[in-house]
Amino acid sequence: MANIAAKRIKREFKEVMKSEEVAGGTIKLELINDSWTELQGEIAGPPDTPYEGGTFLLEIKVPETYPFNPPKIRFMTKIWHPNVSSVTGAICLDILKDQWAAALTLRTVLLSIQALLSAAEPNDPQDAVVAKQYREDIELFNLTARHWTNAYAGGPTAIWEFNQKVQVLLDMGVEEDQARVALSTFDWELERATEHLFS
Amino acid sequence: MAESNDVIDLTKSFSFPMYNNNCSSNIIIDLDTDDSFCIEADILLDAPTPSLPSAAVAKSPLREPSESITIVTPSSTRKQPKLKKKLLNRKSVSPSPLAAKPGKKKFGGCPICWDELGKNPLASTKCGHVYCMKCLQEYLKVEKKCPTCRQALKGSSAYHPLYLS
Ligand SMILES: [Zn+2]
Ligand SMILES: [Zn+2]
Repeated sequence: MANIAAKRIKREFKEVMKSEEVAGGTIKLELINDSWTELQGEIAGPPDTPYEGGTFLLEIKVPETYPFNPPKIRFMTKIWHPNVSSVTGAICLDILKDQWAAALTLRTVLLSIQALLSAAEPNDPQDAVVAKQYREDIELFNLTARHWTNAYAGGPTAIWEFNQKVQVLLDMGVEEDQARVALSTFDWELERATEHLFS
Repeated sequence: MAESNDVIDLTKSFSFPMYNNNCSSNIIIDLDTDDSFCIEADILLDAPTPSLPSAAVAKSPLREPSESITIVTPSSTRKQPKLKKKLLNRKSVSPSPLAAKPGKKKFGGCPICWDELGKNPLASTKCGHVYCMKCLQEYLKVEKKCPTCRQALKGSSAYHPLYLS
C-alpha cells in the first residue's frame, strides 16, 4: 500500500479511537487486515429514526490512492433506505464520489453516513423502489425500515404483521432475504409479492 | 485546536452535505474559518471539542436519550403492531481528547498526510491552503483541485512554495 495511504489510515484510526463518538458508542472502527486496506465501520442508528436501536456494519476498503480518492464504503447490514441499495448495500453519497476531498476522513465520512440515516434524500435515490415508497407512503416506509432494523440490525421493534407475512413466504420455500425484499417492494401485499416471486 | 494536528480543517472548514447525495451537488466550504494557523496557545485552554457536522449533531445519539415512547400508528387497514422500545445504553460523553492535546506544534498537520506542517517543504495553493509540497504535487496528479476546498488549481499560479523563515 502506498506510503501516504497507510500512514494516513493509521493516524485516522487513532483519531477515531480517541473520538467522542467512539466513547459515546455511536461509531466504531475496526481493522480487518494488517495492511490497513480494509476496515469495518459500525454506526448506531440515530434516535427518532426507524433505524434507532440498530447497529449497522459498514465495509470500508481503502484504495491504494487514498486520500486522493475516497474510501469505498457499503453497508454490510441490510437496510431499507432510499439512498442505500437494499440488495448490495451500495451508498449514494456525494462525498464518497465526486465530492470527496483529501481533507475528509474516515471519521467524518462515518458521521456523514450516520447523518444520511437521519435525513434521506429520496430525490436522488440509490434504490428506486425504496425511494418511491418513501415519497408515496412515508408511514409504510417507516414501518418497513423499522422492520428491517429489527430483522438485520438488532433493532428493538418487531412488526408483528410483517414477520408473519415473511413467515408465510418462508413456509412456501422462499429464502428469507428474498421474501423480505419482495414484501417490502410490494407494500406488504402478500398476494402481489407471491405473484412476483413465483412468476 | 492549533496543536492537535489530527483535527485541523476537518471540523471547521467544512460544511457537510448531509443529504445532497447527488454527485452534482456542491459542498459548501467556508474558507474563512480554516484555523490551521492559529498559534495562540490560550485558544487551546478552552478549545471546544471538534464540532460535528450540523446534521449529525442534531440527530446524533449523543444527546440525551428521550424517555418518551414513540408509538407508531399504522394506517387503519393494518393491525396495530406491538412496539417495544429499548433505550440505548449511552455513556456520558467525555470531552474529546483531541481538543486539548498537549504538544509544541504550531501549525497543525498537512491535511493530506497529517504530518506536522513544517516538517517537510511546504506549498500554499492560490486559495491559501497549505500542504507538504510533495503531497500537493501528488494530489494534483490525480485531480487539479484543492484537496481541502476543491477550488480548481490549474496552471503555474495554482500553488507556490511557502517558507516559514
Ligand atoms: Zn503532507
Ligand atoms: Zn483551497
